[in-house]
Amino acid sequence: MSASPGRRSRVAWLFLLPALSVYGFFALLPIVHALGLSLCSWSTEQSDPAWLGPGNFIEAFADGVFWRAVGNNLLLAALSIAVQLPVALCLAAMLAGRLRGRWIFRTAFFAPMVLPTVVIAFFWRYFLLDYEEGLVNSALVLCNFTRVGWLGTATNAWPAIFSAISWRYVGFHMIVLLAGVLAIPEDRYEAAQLDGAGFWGRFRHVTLPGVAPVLALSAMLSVVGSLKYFDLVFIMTGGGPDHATELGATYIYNLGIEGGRWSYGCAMAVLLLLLSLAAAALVLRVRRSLEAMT
Amino acid sequence: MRCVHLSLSLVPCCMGVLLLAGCGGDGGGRQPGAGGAHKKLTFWHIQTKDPTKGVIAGAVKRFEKANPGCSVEVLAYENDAYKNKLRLAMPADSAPDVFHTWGGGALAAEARAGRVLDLGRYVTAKQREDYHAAALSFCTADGKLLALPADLSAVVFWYNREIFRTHGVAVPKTWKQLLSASAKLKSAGVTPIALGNSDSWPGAFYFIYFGMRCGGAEPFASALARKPGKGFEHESFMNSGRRIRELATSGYLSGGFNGRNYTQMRGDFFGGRAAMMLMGSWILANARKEAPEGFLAKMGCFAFPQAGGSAADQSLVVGGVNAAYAVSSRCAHPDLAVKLVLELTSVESARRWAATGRIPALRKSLVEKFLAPETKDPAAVLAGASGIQLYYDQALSPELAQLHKSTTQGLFAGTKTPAEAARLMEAKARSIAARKGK
Repeated sequence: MSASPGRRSRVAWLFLLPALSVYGFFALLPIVHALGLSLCSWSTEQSDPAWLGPGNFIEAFADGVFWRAVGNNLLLAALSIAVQLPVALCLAAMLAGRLRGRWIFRTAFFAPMVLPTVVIAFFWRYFLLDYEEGLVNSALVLCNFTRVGWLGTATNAWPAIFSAISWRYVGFHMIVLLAGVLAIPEDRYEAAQLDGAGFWGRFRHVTLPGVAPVLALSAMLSVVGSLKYFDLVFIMTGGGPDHATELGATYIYNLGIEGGRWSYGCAMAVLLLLLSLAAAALVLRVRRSLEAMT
Repeated sequence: MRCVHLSLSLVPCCMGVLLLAGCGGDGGGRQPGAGGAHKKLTFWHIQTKDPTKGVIAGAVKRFEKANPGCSVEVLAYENDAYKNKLRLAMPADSAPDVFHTWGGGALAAEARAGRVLDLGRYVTAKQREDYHAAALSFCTADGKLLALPADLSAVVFWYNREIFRTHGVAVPKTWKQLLSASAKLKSAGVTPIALGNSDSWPGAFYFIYFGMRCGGAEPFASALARKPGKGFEHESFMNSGRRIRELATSGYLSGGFNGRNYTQMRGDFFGGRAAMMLMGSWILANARKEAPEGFLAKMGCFAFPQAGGSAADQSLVVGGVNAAYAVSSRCAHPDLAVKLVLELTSVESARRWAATGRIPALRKSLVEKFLAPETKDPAAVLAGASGIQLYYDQALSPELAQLHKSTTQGLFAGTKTPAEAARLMEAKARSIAARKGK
């Protein structure tokens, strides 16, 4: 028995309705609302939003701190792709093989992903990187080096933050890529081996093309995740010292909410959204051209 | 409340029901047998823990007893969570009737948006006389009385008497003496001054004091009021910047200070690892709970040292109200709400407030006899001051306050020069004034 196409699509919509209404109410509506507010002037001193036009966007374009924050976002995205993904891929390739006790490694690398961000941030901030009691400085002192201010200096805070972020996400990318590696048919490796390919040959000509689509997915998640990143940085440095680790989202919080500039915060959020969309489109495009090549 | 109704009508109804079930507490339900219309006030504050939580509860109980037919629904939030909660509730028109405030620029900003009740009509001149004049002034803006203060704090240098005695260090009177005392302590292997500046407000106290010791309170007042002149690029702010750079590179502060927080900072001081700390008198309440047994007796305090060769008044103190209570302009029973605020700041409340180690914001003669022994020293510093300068981050509008804190952190970190920090502040103040002028 087959239903008419019209009826079937009606039923499909009915099933989609709960998900769509939640998405619409908690994602789309706030975005539209923020878009509207970004064109108004509204801060703590004002009772209600008043129409402004593009003023907030003009201010954002001239706001050095905002661009520094966006620059940090882009740097985070670039470093994530350049550092986290290769490391994750190597781990995935190794753990896909017949390594003994590989489940221990898989669990260990993935573990940071299931820990709450607050726990990770506290662990890094107080247990590892604290000036007085941190493990890293204690080790340095033990080896007769002087203590290093990790989170409190403009030059060291950024590498410290990036290490913590990488520690959290490498395991996640590893699991995603591992699934991709395991999906590659065994006979391709056998064929490559018969053709005389060594470990690197197999990696270069079988594994890499095999995981390319998954790699693109990981890259996309990295880029979009980096552009909207907030929590770990917020807890570890709050964007400081003096904006050294400021990201778009922490600046929106610091100025938009703490500073009471509601509508300006919305305008910056809109710009960040556009940037994320553009970056996602770019990654998709690269992925398509990669697929066309292989 | 508009927003709440709107959202409930739109969210799939099951969620709405859950929300309602979650929100409806045991609070202001109509009491059986209470004749006539029952009145309910909502009240938010930040005293989540005893003993101060009990002080608030006692005041609410006395108010309810004196005003039958009126009940108060009390909600306490943790300090930082409260700031955001209130900041977002005010413009969303879901603010409580009575709320905790720190007065200053943030409260003034809300008042300019018409969200705060002017208490001027409700509080008589005679009643006002009971309050500490400076504390009352921090709750006043544009000629309107916006809140009544309960707690007054002074920022002073705390020191560890035992460490000072062991190393033969005398209490410094001038900044020069403080520096030479620090040098002595440092060479003995003690951290002279504890600082945890990742939240950026503890370091900001230095900025205010350095500026004030050099040029008095006037440059800031003029810059804040946008009087013609040099504004935030005034010499006294440049001097603050230079002194902070000197201090930050002196090696007298806790190591890694810009990455450490307020909790770690007082831990260093309470643990005897650091000899001094510039902090508000609220630290005494922390010391009672966190410091080792007998530490309170080792804690002494002195006023921020004087600058040599300055013509400015050297007795000025940095301080503020750490608890004041205001009424929302949307409150349906303003007369009752003001009565609650008066009870929260009454002499009886002050007596209990003082017993917890705080300085009540009533005039000296009313509270002197209640003060806890350890509060007497900071109270004496306050009494000897010719004026109290409100912390800049509370005197300034929220946006400028953020910049003040981040530029000062930059001065400590060495990423901003004194001139840069001053220029950024002045530019932002001008752009805000221009925006308002439109």
